[in-house]
Amino acid sequence: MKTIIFKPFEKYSERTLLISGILITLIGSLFGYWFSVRFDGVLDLHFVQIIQLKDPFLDNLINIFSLAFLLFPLAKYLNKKTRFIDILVTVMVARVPFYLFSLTNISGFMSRSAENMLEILDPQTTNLQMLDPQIIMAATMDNLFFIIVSSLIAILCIIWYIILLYNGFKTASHAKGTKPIVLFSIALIFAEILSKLIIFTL
Amino acid sequence: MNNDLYLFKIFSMSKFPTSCPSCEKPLKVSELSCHVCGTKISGDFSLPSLLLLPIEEQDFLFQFIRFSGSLKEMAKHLKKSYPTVRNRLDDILEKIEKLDKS
Repeated sequence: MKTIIFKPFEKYSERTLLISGILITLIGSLFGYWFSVRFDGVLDLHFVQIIQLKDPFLDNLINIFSLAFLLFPLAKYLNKKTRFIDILVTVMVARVPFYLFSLTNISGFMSRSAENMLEILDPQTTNLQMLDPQIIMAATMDNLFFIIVSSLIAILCIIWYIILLYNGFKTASHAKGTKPIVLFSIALIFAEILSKLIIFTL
Repeated sequence: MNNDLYLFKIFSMSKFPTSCPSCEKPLKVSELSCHVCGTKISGDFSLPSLLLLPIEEQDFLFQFIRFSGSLKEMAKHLKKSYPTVRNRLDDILEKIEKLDKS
C-alpha cells in the first residue's frame, strides 16, 4: 500500500504508469471543470466562479510539460541513462493529490465558505454595527473552521505531491545525496514560474 | 562444464563465506583440491570480486545473465519498474568497481 501511495514508480512499468497518468490527467481535468477549479501553476490550485471546459485541460497540459521539460535535463545531467518517459509519467501521476483536493469544492462548497468569510469581514458589504456580534462570531467561526480544515488538507496534498514527484524523479534519475534535492527544488520553483507565465499569457 | 550449469552450481550452493567470522576481514583461498584424483594446490588466491558480493546481488546478476541482459524482461519478471532494476544493476556495478580497486 505504501508503495502505491508514495513510490508507484518503483513497481509499475512505464506502460502501466503512462496509461494511469493519462487517465488521471483526464479525470482530474474533468474534476476541475465540474468543481470549478483552475490548476493555474505547477504548485497552484484556485477555486473560481466561471470556468470553461478547456481551462483545466489546458492548465494541466501546461503544468505537466513545464515540469517535465525542466526536470528532464536535470535528471539527464544527474544520470545519462534517464529516459524522458520516466520523468513524464512521474509528473503526470504525481498530480493525483491536486485532483483529489479539487473534490473539496463539490457544489462550490469551499468557494462559498471563502466568499462568506470575505463578505462578513468586508465593512463595505456588511454593516457590522447592525448585526449581533454573536451571529457574526458564529458565522465567522463556521466558515473559518471549513477554511482551516481545507487548508490543512491542502498542505497534506502538497506534501504528498512533492513526495511523489521526488520519488519518481529519484527512481528515474537514480539521484543520491543532497545535491539532487537542491537542484530538484530549484527546478520546481522555475517550473511554477514558467507554468504561471504561460497560463496567464494564453 | 556447460556455462549455465556452472552458474547454477554456484548459485544453488549454500552461502559462500567471503569474510572471516572472527575478525570480519575478507577471506582468501589457500587450498584447491580435485575431487576426482585428490590433487591439492596450495597458495594465496584472491576471491573474484563477483563472489565477494552478497548472495542477493550475485543472484540478481545471475538473473541478468539468464534474461540475456534484457533489463525490460527482468523488470517484468521481478515485477519492478525498468528504472528500479537499472538502478540496482548500476549500484552493483559500482560496488564491483570499488571491490576491484580495493
